[in-house]
Amino acid sequence: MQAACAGDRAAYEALLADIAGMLRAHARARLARSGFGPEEAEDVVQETLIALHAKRHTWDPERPILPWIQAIARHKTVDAARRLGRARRRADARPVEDLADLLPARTERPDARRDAHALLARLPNRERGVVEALAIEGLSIAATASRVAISEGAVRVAFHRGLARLRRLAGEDGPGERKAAR
Amino acid sequence: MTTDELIRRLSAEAPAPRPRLELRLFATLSAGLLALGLWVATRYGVRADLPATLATSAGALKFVGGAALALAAGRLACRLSRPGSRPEVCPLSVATLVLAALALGWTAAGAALSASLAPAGAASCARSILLLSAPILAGALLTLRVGAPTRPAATGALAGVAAGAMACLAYALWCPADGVAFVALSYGGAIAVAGLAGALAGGRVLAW
Repeated sequence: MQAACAGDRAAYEALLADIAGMLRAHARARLARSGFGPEEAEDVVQETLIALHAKRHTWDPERPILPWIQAIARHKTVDAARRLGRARRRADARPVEDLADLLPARTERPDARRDAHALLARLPNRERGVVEALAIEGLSIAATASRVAISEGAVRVAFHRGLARLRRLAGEDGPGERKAAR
Repeated sequence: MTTDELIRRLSAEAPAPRPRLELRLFATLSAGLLALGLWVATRYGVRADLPATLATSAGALKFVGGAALALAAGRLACRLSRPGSRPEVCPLSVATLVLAALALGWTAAGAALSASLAPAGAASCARSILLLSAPILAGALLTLRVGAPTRPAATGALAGVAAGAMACLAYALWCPADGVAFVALSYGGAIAVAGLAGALAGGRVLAW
């Protein structure tokens, strides 16, 4: 990046290509969880690259570059996931006569989210950390593993156990909360 | 357009080094403070006993507290505008603010409270400060757009607090009020409202 900032175009191109590969893996994993495919992920990769380029002066050469890239990537990915989710909900929206069905579902959402958090709080520490990192913050498995300081295999195991426990907890608390834990 | 094409296009663009964000914000805020100070001095006038007020607790709260708050908030806003850097607070500013709060508590506990508290005056004082802070807030937000705040509302709120504190510094040139409780209420209230305005505006202006 330092070479790129100094005007070395070849270095900059190589750097962007490297970053694109990294972003692609992350964006695919993140968007797959929301049910979107590689095409949407590629859009996010491009948007992020443009953002990195447009904001490259906000990187302080005295600081490590990776956290800077990750922060921008997270910002852009979350933005895109939200936007895609909104677009999908609009596309799913039914004609006016069906809106009566839709409205109660809308008003239910804040509660559902709170319930999901309440259920999450009842998980054991490691499982909760992993589920939060993967499912809520959208980190990759590798990033989660380094955060909670366990291997990637252990992350997968903890994630599945956590989800299974959430399903059980939601079942205990009644059918209304099953949706929240899903 | 494929991603490879995009990368080629981006890398073909000339590198665009820009002046540092911190420097720009500092320049904007300083220029704003200078302009506001001149405005207050010509429009309202400067109180005659200005140097003497600096020694009083109200004067110290106005000038030292205001400057510390503006510096701390401006610095934090810059931090938040650089993705991936942890927000850090200047320890000196925090110490000053804590001292100001302690002094305030100490004085307010005394008899000064009831004597100096004039709600109507405090409201008009806060209104003047808010009006003064508006142009600085606009300038600060435009400057921060150069950065990349990943939390636009929080960054905007800090810009609002910095702008409010700057406006307090300028207004204090004239403001004849000497009660610590009065100053804390009107100045603090104005800064809080400016911060709120900054948060609301920042959510829109600073999105990228």
